[in-house]
Amino acid sequence: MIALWLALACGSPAPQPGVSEAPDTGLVPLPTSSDPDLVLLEPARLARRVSLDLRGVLPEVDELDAVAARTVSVESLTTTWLADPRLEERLVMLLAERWHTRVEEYLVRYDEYPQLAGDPTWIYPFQRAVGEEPLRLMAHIVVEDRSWDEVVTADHTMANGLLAELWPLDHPGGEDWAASTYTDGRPAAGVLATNGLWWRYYTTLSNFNRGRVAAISRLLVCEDYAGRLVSLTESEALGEGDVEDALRESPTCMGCHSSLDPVAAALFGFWPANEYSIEELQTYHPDRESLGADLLGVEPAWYGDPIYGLNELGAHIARDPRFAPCAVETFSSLLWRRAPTLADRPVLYELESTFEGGERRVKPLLAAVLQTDVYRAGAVSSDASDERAQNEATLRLQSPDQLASSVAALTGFVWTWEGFDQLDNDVLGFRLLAGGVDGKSITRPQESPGLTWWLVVQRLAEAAAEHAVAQEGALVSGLDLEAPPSEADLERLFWWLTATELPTEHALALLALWESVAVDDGPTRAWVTVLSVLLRDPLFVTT
Amino acid sequence: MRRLTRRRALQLLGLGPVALGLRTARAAGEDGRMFLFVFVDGGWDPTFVFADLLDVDGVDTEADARVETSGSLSWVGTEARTATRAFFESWGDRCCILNGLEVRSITHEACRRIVLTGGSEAAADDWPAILAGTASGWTLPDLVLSGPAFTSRYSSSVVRIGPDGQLGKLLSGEVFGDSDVTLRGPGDAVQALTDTLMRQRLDAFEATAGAGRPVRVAGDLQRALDQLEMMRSLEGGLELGLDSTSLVSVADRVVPALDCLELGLSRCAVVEHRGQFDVGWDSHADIGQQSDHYEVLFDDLDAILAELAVRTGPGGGALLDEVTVVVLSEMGRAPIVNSRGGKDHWTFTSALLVGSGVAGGQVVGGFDDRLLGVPIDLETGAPSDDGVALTSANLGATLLALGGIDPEGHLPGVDPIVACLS
Repeated sequence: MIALWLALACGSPAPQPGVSEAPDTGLVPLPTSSDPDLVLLEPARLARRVSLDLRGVLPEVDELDAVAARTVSVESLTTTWLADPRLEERLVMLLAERWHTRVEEYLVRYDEYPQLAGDPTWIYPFQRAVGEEPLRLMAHIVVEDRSWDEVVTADHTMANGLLAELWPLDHPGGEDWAASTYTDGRPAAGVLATNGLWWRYYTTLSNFNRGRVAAISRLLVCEDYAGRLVSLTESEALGEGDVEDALRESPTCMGCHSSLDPVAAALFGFWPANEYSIEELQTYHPDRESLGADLLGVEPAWYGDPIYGLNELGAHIARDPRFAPCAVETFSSLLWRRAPTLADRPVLYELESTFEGGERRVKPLLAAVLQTDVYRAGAVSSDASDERAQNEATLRLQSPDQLASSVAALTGFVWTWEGFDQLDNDVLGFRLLAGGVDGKSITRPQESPGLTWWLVVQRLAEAAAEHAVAQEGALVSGLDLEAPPSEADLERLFWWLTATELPTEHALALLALWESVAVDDGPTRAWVTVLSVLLRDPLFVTT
Repeated sequence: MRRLTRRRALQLLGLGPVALGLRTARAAGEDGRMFLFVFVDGGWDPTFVFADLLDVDGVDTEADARVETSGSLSWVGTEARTATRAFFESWGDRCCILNGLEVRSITHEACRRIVLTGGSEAAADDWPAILAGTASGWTLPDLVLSGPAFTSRYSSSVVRIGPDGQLGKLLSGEVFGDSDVTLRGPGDAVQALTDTLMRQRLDAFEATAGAGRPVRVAGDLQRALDQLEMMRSLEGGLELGLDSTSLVSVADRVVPALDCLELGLSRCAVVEHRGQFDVGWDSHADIGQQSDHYEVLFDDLDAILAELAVRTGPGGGALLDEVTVVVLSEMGRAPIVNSRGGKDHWTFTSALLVGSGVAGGQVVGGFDDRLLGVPIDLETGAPSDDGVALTSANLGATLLALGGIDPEGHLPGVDPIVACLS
């Protein structure tokens, strides 16, 4: 022990990972940035970011070692991780940040379902299943390496056992998510034919699906009707007569409604006669398809192209020249952790080329986005403008789901209470307090930590460390929990958790902490404390 | 209404304000002014209370509505709307009604963003976040009890209590009991040790992060730890539990926020108001519900203002003299009743400012006979053809000015409504 303290204090060389002095021959080249404003992450740290984004877990130590030794490239690991089954779950969470379907309540009375009324603990899993239906369909299409077009053309959805029990679905059985088919005669239209999407983006009787069109237009072709500023002062009609007439006659209104209403007319199979009724909302109504033309006074069309049925709507959206660029922008912004700017246009064009060249499969697009400088950046250079420094997300917070999954993989700790995932709900738990999105009041992830974020991280770290020691989670594998940490223990743990070398001063502080706690509480509790500090290290909780 | 006085908190802790680092010496000036935002969710109908359009053909109003007055303030009421009348009779001289604000959208989500940020940009901070985020030294800068919050640059200033009182549980460690697996959590001594170590670690991290350039995340981590240390020193003296069930009035739900304002912990607090029975104000059917919603709202506001008036603020005066209460909704309602007896969305709305820094007893701005906002002279508040058509950005500029923040830095070219400022 004394030798260790002396060695660390004197800065004796220890077997540290890292390859900055390694010869180039035969080694993976060091990454370089084509953007002079951006300083790229070290390869191991980049691999960590990629792994968390694609799988929600940290790389293994040997993977970090290989990347640091430049015997394995981040790109090759990326290829492997794109085939990891955990990608599907991550995509669900990633897409939820944009699609906002994982909300805490829907405009329905759950007690109309006898199954839920008898046992209210099912309401939370049911709500999550509803919100995830469209997300899981999209994620499934990605992991199966099918064209993104199928997001709006697929002849099936994804459902779990709970949804299959309650909704008119043909499901292969069991509780797990699986490709399923609605049995109520709804057309093949991918997410456009999912209950989950339309429960989140509900329509009132008098809105006639218009809000729904604004949602799918924003999400699928990045045309944001709701973001357009309107001025009724220019309208002569509103305020004096029938609103529906005004929407067809007033230039102010027609700017949006001339294209929006024909799409709304195509969605009347999902238009409920009672917007609160479960029976109305869970079932497609083929007999109402033609109502749109009557009620809205326009024939169904997608930006001028006539459409005959919901399935044609999906096909038209997939052919829309904005569809592919919107997908590129969506995945880029989700992984860049910021909205694209005009300066990103050249990069986005390249990514679009990759996307189209790959027959609109998302995996090649993801791989390309992960190689952009903006994604790989770990800092902004001292020469860059303040505006650039402010805009780039070079140090990102782990999202609540990333924290949950990465900590669970390390420690075995899954924070649940009475069936609620505490990092994934807002009623009892900490999704919003940990910087997440509720899809209604909060629609953007928190960019920088505040008090509640830190508190959640601290309590998660303390709980997970305690659990790991008690249950011998992966993090403590190979550790002697009755003895003080060795130098190698601490280096390995820090390297695994942060992909960064352990600073000498911090190593000394951790040892001192262990000894202080061990005096009164014993070695096991001392380990819990040290691990809890490591699990809230700023380099662990960020990417 | 339960309450915790600042004096009682200090007595409980056995500490003086200096030891607590409270903002006692701050006078109730602009940079120390605090804000309570009451967000009316769903879209209120200004013609029920704020806008006198009773004799206008193109605007449907209540059959028994009448203009009522108290001092120099007039509003629309009915015989039955007693809570509204009582509110204005008690507080009318502190109230500035702002009419004719344009939000330029008709969807709830877009309007919420516009009325709270002044625009439709996704990456924008709302008024409370800017007011709280640009000031330093507030322990719980932007305390969000409920309702929308739009943040980008100042996201770290937001502190959520959580509908189940999650913040209090996190602070106290009660969360370890809220778990399906048995957890013990650290004791106080260990907690103190780890806090010290984390402080050292964050110091080192901040010094090395960002390749020599300050990184916001690193700085905000330090600030979060500062805030945590402050909150730990208050633990036991400040009840942050929150009962958000619909059976509890907004006036009671807001008590933790009033405590934090009184103690000088928060610059802003935000609470959502969803009207009678917590159903929301989106009255597409049966516009008459708005009358009931307003009664509940003004009953709650009356209780809140009464509480602010008897509490002592960090500056030493009445808390009401240090807090501006901002009551707003994302949109208005259309002039004409629809076929379902309700009113649809409208791009012009009203807001109500009460308390510190507000020139009360007046109605600023107005609507024309089509329920469109009329331009006003920003200095006098009177309608003027050469004036400015009010938008939510003008409201934001006014709030920033009240908070001692130059609006030009956040809303270039947008002027505050000077007439609202005392």
